[in-house]
Amino acid sequence: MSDARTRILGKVRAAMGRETTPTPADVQAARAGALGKGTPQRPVWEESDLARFCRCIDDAAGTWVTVPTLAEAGTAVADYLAEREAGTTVHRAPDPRLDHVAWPGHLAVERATDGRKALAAVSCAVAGVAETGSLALVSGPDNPATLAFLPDYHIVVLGTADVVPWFEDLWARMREQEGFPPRSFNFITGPSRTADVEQTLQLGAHGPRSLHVILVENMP
Amino acid sequence: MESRAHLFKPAAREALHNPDLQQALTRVQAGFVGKRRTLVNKFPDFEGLRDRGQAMKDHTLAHLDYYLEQFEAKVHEAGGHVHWAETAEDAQRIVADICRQADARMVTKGKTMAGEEVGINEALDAAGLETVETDLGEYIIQLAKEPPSHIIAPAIHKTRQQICDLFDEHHHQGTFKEKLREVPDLVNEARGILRGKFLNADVGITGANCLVAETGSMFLVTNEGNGDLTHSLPRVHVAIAGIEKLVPTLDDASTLIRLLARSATGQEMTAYTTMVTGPRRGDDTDGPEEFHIVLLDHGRTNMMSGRFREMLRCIRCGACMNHCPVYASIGGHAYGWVYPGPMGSVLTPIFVGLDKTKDLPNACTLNGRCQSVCPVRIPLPDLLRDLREAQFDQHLTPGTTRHGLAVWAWFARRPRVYNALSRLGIGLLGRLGRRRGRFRRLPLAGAWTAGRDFPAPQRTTFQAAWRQHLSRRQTHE
Repeated sequence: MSDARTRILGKVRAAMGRETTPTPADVQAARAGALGKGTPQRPVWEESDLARFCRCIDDAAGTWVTVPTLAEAGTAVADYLAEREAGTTVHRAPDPRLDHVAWPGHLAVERATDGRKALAAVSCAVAGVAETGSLALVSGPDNPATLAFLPDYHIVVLGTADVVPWFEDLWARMREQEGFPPRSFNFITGPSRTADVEQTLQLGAHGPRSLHVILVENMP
Repeated sequence: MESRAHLFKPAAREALHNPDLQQALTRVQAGFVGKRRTLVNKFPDFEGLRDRGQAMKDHTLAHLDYYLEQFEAKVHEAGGHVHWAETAEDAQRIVADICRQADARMVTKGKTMAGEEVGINEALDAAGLETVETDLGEYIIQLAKEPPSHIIAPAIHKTRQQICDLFDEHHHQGTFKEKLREVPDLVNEARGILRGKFLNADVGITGANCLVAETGSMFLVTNEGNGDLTHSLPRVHVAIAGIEKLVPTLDDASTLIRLLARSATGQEMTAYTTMVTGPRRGDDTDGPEEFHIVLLDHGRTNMMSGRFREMLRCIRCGACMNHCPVYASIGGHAYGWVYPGPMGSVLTPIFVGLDKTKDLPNACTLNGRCQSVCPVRIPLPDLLRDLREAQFDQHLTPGTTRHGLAVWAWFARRPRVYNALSRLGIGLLGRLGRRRGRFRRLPLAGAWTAGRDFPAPQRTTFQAAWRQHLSRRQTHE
């Protein structure tokens, strides 16, 4: 296999008329020359970042609700399940932040290490991106990735202070965090969908049929 | 996949007379084109974004050796394996070996055009594995035993009735009573069947929308969530990607995704955009134990020097085919290989051979719509013209065309004769067609007039009219 590697890299270098890989300094200089230092072109909005974030969730056929504290997220979960007639069992991610949630007594709350048995699941997002209304989830023991894909109902808890304007802001934040990148860093924008049958949009293709965001104003 | 591009003309003729296909094709224009336009108009500086996309890809390609090495080192750091495949056979062997070592029996697949290119499914079938496509469109055409007809909507040529018939045959052994069912029923039925496959698969194979050198990550962009179930549930995840998929940083990946989502499906962001880096970490409770990435050359390094390097900027969004009048008339299958439409007409001759695909560069009116919507500004019409030139140089152009061009060239090199003759011809046609303004039939132009009328020319040549225009302007000055 290493022969194939040598030949492929050799052909790239031959095409560029050089015998060795350029140095990091050369590549950085070339990049600065090609892309400049200006901000990339991206969407802009007049409303607040949080308002934009919520509007984009609406556009993506997701739903959202705001609660003052994490404790109150429990009632929000129960209300949502009742409204959707989605039963009274919920599989929560082991994320320690969810320990602060006051779960109503009639809910059966189970800690999930994956999404295999869950009909309704609750995860925690690390951030929200206002630009597109996307939730950012970090896979790991706290928030198993499959919990976001196997259930029919996916509920995501997010602190309002964790909504950033653009993707570049998110990357700047994530680069500082230990353990980044995780195995799977998921941007979720609305529920699962397909238009593969006659270009007709249908929600709930393989992943969740509905996505609900609980925005916590005072996230610990 | 074996190419049938040499049968372009009969396949195109058949497509034009296929009422099911023609009905299905009307939806391409109605859906993708309008949604893209709305979002592009909403974006503050989409032209600037396209410039940035082009500059970023050009920079990456010019330093591809550096970025490939950086990517490889980062994948190793994250505990993943990197495989280098020069040919389709290499890629097939690598993937089949990984499956064998994993003792795999069932493989789920997310959509991968690179996988289609190298015939991964055929290799897995030969290795005795059950392979299940999980993108709904890919699943439908897998049941129909057909190749994709569009790079992002592979079953766009299928009508609901045809999909009902396929599901009836494969899921109900032809016993289902209700003949035409609604879209939600069909989607739910496929969801139920594929859910079982996801949960029992041993290996998951996906493509990648881009590879990030900075972190050794791959991005996967889907709407169904099938890609994430494919890479998260089995023991082993294998991704296949062309070497041109590299981008330097996470910020660059964001630029690319802004372009891709808008240009492809007309979304600001797809439902799921996932960044995968290596296999499951030590304390993870789900995710694959092994992560493999197959870096595919398959002719790409041959495009690195010279004009066709521009084609390596392609991010596989499908906008060029969505806006192509030829694709809109004949659909994707007539092109005869994996990639249809304008980008396919450039790539197929390069990957399969110009001698076996000689109609493709000519299946284009050079109207330029593809270039005007390409998110990374690939000059597709120019590249198609270059391929036509290469055909001429390699004596692949048909005799009648060559002789016709030779005759024309003889006159074109003798301007006096050329002008005199065209004056005569234009004058004659203009006089003959004066009354109706058009011709229903014209000798030597039967192919033209079979489908439409030939407009009668004004009675003077363009050059004469231009001279007149200039002299009039001089008198005014």
